Amino acid sequence: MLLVLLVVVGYLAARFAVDWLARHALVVSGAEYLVLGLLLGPRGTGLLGAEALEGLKPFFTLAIGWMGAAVGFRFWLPVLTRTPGVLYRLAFTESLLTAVLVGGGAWVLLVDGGGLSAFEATLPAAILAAVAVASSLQGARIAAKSLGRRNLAVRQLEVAAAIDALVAVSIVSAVLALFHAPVNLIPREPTPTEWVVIALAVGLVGGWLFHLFLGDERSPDRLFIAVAGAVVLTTGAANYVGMSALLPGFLLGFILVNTTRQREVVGEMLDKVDRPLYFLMLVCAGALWAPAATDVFVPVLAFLALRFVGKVGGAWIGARVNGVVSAFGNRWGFALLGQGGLAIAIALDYSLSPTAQLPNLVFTAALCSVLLTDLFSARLARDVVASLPEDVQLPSSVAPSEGQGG
Amino acid sequence: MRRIIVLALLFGAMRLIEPLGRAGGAPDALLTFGFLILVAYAAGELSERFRQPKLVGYLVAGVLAGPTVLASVTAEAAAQLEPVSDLAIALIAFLAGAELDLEEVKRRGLTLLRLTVVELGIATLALFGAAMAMRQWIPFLADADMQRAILFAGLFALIAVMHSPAIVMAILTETRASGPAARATLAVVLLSEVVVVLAFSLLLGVVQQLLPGAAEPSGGVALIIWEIAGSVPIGIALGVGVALALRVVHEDRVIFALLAALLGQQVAHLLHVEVLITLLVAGFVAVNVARGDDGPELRHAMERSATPVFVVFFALAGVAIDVPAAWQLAPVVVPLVLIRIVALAIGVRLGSGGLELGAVQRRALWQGLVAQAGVAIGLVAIVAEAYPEAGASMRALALAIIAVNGTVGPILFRRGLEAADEKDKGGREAAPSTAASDGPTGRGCGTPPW
Repeated sequence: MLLVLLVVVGYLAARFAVDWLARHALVVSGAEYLVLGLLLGPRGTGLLGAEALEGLKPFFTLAIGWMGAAVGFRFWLPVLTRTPGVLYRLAFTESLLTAVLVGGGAWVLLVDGGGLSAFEATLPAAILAAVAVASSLQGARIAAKSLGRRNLAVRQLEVAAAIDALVAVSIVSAVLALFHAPVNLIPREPTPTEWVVIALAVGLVGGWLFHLFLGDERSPDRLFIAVAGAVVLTTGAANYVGMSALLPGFLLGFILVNTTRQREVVGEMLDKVDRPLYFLMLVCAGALWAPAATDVFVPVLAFLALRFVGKVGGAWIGARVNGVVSAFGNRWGFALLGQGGLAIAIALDYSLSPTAQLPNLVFTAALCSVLLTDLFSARLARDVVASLPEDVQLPSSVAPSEGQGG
Repeated sequence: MRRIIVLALLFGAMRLIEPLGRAGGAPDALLTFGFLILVAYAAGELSERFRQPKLVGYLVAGVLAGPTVLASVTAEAAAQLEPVSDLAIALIAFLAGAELDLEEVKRRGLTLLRLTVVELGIATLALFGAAMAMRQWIPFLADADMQRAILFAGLFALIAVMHSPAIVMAILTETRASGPAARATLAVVLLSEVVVVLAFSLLLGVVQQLLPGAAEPSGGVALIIWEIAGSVPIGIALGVGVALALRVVHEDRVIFALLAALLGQQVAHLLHVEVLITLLVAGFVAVNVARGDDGPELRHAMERSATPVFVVFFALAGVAIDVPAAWQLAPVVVPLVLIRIVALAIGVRLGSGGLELGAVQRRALWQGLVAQAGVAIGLVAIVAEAYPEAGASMRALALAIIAVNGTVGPILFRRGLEAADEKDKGGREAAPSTAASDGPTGRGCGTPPW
């Protein structure tokens, strides 16, 4: 009973602290769920023991697939085609520079100081790069509140967060295909490319069949059950073939948003479930976390520093290269520092992989980054937005000509 | 038709990727689970088209997808999904407890307890008599001497008489029913859980004294009694804790309820108390002790999320049904099911005095008591621990009876509620396509289930 009281008091204290921070310091965090996970987990009270965590594995695997579907749902073609190309170029520059900087830096550190071979280090380095690239929509939401949804700065932050998610999911899928565990049930082991094709097929076929299955369904509760079934099925299929559920989930979300007649209802549903699943992932992450290891301290600090440089520097370089400094300023990358569920999902996904190298390091880096950036990302995004003019305009050299949208 | 074709294609796609799984690994639980949800969803819709409860569709889908029919959900995958099913039943128990109103319990508690004891007593006696009369066809009684036969028939009757809070909750939610019969049925099924398990524990104690078995049930009879008696204070403590926590948790109440159910389940396992009763009590205390509107708000949040939980629970319950075994036992099962139904009808008629129920409402009440689900299986497992051979054949018979009652019961209860004019009286509009506002006593699925 004492243990239960400890858990309840710990959770409530953390919840109270987070509520207070949210009210007084513009901090939006799920830290209380992480604390709850730590308290419940084997390193806390043990109420959520190894067996219970094993039992919960389907839930957090599902959370990963759901996260992918929620990300894919952001890619609605009618809006994508109306978005000026320069916004994509800017987003891709920031995203890829962050990936290269963090991935390259982590690879050097892991080969030099981590005792891994050059090939072995590629896997954790690439996963760290994917974690680093992921950014939350927090900045865009704050900007939307201040500037209104049709403002170009808001759109840029939305595009950047979406492209970050796309790049992160692509990196995870590619690298897990490259390091796929042997299958032995078929005469010839599929190549990494074939594994990627299989993951794509799971998402595309699942999405297409689900579109046919759903038909003209309008009732929200029926839609929920059907969507949940489809996400569970797709996630399960990906998990069964040993691939990340993020890519098939992403494709399912992409097909859904572009085919369903109930786009808004489904979008709202994915969003609402996304949040509890994020918290559930935090609880599981807290329970699974082994933060005591001191050997991860330096690499985690290095990861945080590299990510900061990558995001802020990448955004600055992107703005300069694309000639839009006058529109978005030098500091717009600060609004992308916040991380959300996708980073946790990638780290959890990786830690479940049978071929994972240094999973605790990757996990700790992701959790520290999420918790740390939660503390100040909203404030930073607000400051960035406040420094921009109310009506952001693209320079005439990069603005789309009439008829090209925008 | 379109959905059936898509499901067939999905089934084919699942078979196609089968060789790509890890060597020696069982089919992934999530993969089969996702398929099961979609099949259950389609079957539920089909069932509704024939004016039958959706949960019958969910159960049938589970049976069809399960290991004994199409085997798209294998026994290994079903075992992997047990935690999901356990969590679903924990949530259902928490919600069922939350539906009970303290004032009503105070006002009609004794009358409801009397009704529970009368209907259970008559039905148990009838089942006991029937089992004794048909003992030569019942494997665990056929070769037993008279003393052993009487004791085992008694244990069997107590297991076979149990009701199903989960099915009653699901039907009340689906039909948005509210009224005297609906409330009385819910209260009686909840009370009967405690009464039956207590009676079972006492009888098992006697059986253990008279017929030493192959092994003592883990911890002995004292532990079984603790499992029940201890559930109440632990449930109260959990409920008070939830009520206090609701003062600071104003958002994400569904995830909060999920965590509370998960925590309650783990605490119950750790302290060796009955999960179902612990969570029933916790739900009841949490909602009735919470400050202001916190309790009703928690209840409504859970009601809105209930439909997927029911799909999951009943589809998985269907997976557990062994069709060939049930078919083999049909000559014994059919008379036992019929005798139980008649006994329940008589028991309700005799015991419902003081509840001011009309004939139609009384009929709805006994029809609500017909359904059975998985709790009885837990009791058979305890018997099987002490008397492995008798326990195994008792389990097969109990499962067959549960399978029939679990299918017939919901159909009867839904019809009973329709006849009693309590369907769609749950305080909210029957809104199939758009979110409706929550009424004060509303339960149902007119609003999105998140």
